[in-house]
Amino acid sequence: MSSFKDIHHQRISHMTGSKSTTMTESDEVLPKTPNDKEAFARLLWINQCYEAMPSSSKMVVFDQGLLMHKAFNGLLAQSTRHVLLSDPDFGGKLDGILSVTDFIKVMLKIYRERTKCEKESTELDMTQIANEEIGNLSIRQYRELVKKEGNLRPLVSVDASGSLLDAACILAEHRVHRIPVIDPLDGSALFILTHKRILKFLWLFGKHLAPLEYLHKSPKELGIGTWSGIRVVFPDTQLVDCLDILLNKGVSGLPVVERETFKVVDMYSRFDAVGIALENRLDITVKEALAFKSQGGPMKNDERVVSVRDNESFWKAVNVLVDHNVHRLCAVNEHGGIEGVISLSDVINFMVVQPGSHLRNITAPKKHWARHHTGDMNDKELREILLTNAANFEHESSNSSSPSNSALPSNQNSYSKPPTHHH
Amino acid sequence: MGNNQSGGPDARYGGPNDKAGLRRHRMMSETAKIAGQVLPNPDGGPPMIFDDGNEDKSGECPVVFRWSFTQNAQPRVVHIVGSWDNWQTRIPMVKSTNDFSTIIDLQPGQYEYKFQVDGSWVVDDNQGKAQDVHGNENNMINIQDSDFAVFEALDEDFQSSTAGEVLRGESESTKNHDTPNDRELEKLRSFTQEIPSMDMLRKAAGPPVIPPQLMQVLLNKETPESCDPNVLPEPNHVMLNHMYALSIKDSVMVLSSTQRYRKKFVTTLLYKPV
Repeated sequence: MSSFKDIHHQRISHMTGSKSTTMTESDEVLPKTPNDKEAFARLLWINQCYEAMPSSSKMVVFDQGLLMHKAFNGLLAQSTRHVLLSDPDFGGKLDGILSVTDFIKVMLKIYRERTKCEKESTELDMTQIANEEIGNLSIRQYRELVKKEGNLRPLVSVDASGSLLDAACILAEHRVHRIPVIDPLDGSALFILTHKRILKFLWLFGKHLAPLEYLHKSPKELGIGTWSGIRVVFPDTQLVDCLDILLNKGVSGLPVVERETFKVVDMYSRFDAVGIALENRLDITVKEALAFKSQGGPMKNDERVVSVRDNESFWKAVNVLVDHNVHRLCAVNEHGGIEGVISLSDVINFMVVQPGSHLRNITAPKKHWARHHTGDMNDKELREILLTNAANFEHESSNSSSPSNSALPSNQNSYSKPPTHHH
Repeated sequence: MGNNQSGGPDARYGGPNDKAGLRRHRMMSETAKIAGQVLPNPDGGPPMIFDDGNEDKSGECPVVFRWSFTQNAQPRVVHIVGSWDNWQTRIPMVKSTNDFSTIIDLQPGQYEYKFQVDGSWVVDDNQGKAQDVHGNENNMINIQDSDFAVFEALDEDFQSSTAGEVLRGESESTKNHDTPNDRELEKLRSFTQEIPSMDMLRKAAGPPVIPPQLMQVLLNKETPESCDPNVLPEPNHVMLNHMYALSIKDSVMVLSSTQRYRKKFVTTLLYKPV
């Protein structure tokens, strides 16, 4: 376990990058009181989104002319939950995000329409309907459908030079999990900032803030997470009902609990729905869907349920979230029964967004180690510096040619001396 | 050929052979001294280009004439006159550190010449001498074609060398330590209007191969499953700003390119229908 943690730590350092510059102590970051709840917010406030960027990352962009079923094949091939959308009619401008949520919506829509057809006693081939619907729908056409229903959201992005606190607040305002980070100079996308990445940043660079007293209270005491009205599904729940909750109730994952004991046996998330939906098998129960998922899933079954005891500390919960790389935790009692659900957005809202909202209107202090070095400049700035240096070099060369010009008259004077008389 | 410039022919000058010429020679020397002090060019006109009147100069050989002096007896001006133009033109010689010299193109044959040093006619004792029919002593030189055979000898050496054979496209199989490489061959070749034959084109090598480091595609490298799937290994710098394409499958084209942003790297993939 310790060796795993060491590897995990190295991986996080690699993913987050710029560790040496950000780890420097600063008066703005150190907690002012043992219960200073703004410390983590100030940590994000003085750091740019660039600092949370991986050293080397992948960015997937889909052309809007792509057909939907090919788009989701690409989504699976790249093992990513979200891609940016590019409009070829506007020079490849980025104008949207496609995620697994959109895919679930498409499948549910097709399922509902098929149900209507069945009610009308029309004997149509289910596979044929699904394939025709998917095959004929391009991303652009799908987005026009969403627009008519009034659900299309404009693309929200942040600049790489913006503060992480701003990004976290924007995520909370728009109730989304991800936001693209844009190069402010040319508008190209650099990476997608997620709640998960923000939490890793907080955990990695905020460990020295762990002595804060409130971090050792339990999440329930602090009011973090959902402790009443928890949405759960049972193994015999119909999958379409499960997907309906995932789409319309604003949750991204559901604990699967036993009916009698409410013991947590599994989790079902939106991403899990992608594989099953490609098979056009929505007429199954959650238990059957989980069986299908476990065949192709990379994680073992016992590792899929990530939980903490309901009386453990908040900082412990944060560590478990970071270590297991999940979006949510189940808080369970001594019998394994579910007591609450703690999600990434709950944690980040408590640590950063609520205490730090008032900081957004104040300009962050300039870090002395954040001054521009050659390595920090982009290609455009480097090219300008090289051209300026070349111009200066030519100017100095023309100045140095003047002394050689002044040498010529003296040489001519030596030639024009009166000749010696020959006796 | 600027060395052949002269003050122009002097009609009064009859050459050093007769006594009347000698007397007038002394008078001219005194006049030249006076003129030299007043005017840079005694004739007052622009210098004339030396022209021996021969239209065909293909057989002429460049001959170097030299008048040496010591540091304690440096003459001010030296001219040379010779039988190549029937003693008509006084050719000024160019001063250098230890001598005066000039180059005159002459047909092969025997010639007599004399130097005029600071107005005095002088024969160089270190060069060949001869007496003319009147008993006067002059310097003498014999120009032969064989004196310039060294250039032809060098050319023959080159033609028989390995580089010469390679340039002509011969001896394809044998290689030795003298065989020039491509860069050395490039210097030996000259540009012509000749169109190379098909055989020569077939012998030419193909385009250079791709550098091996570019074959290591960043997206083909495996990352641990537990890792964030959007995180990649750091690329080699030579891989930046190149475009990679996946084979078109199912009417979808996938392109990727890696760019640097400050100290970090972004690999962008574009899925596009075709």
